[in-house]
Amino acid sequence: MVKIDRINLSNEGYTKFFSPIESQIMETLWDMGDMTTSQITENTNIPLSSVAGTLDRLVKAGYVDRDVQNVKGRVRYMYMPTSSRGDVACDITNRVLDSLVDCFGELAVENFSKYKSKI
Amino acid sequence: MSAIQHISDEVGCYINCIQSSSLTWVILMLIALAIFLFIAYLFVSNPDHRITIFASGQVLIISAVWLSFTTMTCNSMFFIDIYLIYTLLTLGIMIFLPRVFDRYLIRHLNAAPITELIGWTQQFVNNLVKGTRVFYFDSAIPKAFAAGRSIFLSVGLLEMLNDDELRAVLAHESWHIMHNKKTHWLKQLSLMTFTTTGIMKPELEQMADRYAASITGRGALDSARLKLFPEDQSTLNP
Repeated sequence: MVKIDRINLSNEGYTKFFSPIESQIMETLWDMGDMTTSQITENTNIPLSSVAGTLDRLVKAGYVDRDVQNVKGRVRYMYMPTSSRGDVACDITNRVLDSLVDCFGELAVENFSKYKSKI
Repeated sequence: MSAIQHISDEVGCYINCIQSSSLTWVILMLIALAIFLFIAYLFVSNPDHRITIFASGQVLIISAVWLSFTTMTCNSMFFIDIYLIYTLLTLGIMIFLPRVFDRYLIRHLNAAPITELIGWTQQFVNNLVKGTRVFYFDSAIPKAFAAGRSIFLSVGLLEMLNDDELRAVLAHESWHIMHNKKTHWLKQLSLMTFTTTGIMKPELEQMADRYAASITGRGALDSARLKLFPEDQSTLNP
């Protein structure tokens, strides 16, 4: 889950912030929209035993929301991402920047300005 | 007098009291019989017999301890007082906890009556054991367990199993509810004899499985087990 002290800058993509399974599930939900548990396991090729616990964690952390549905007597969860890929990127950026400003103050802000001029 | 000296004197007094008692041979016989039963437990395969033999061994040990108490006339009996307090406390917890634990779980898991999702399940359980309530709770991890007079099922479990498999799980958990009191006494015996409370768990699970199979058929039970424990197929009994 996204924790500032656990960010792994050497990883690729969203695995810098999420675990590989969390990242794979989030990417799948962002790409394909609302999905049931079995659709998630099929699309990610991750066994249900790993997906179930990870989905519980993502729901608890607020990145994913879910509804319980009863379709023709069959109970199922329907999962949906609570924020878009961009919103999550924005949230992570803000948290990292907050942490840097808390730590380095003015110096961090000066460096952000330099960055802005580079972009 | 140092604490170690004090403890050693007290234990010495206990041993003297037992040795000088006319009940010594009875105590030794009870202990020998208990050891024989514990050894027999290792060689018996029927789960009912295993539980009976193990519990009988524990009862014999407790009887030996109680007889030993009656022989003691030491001035200071600190360890015995501690053991008696421990026994009373665990007994109180064992009697009190099951009455409130399911209520705590309903609140803690934010569980809701299963009838909100699947109507037939509550009726099915009522036919097996009256006064039992079935709840579901929000978790994708497939889980089912019984506590007090309630059965708890996760949504993950409801997603995974078909109706026949769900009946098998409900019958299994109903067996645990039916035998709640006996199970609590077995736990109490284990606490009093300082044996692990989990030692009889496999036997209890086998007996619950056997009951479930008698209600729903072996196929539904094995199929449910295969889905819930794909890595542990050794639990599928013939």
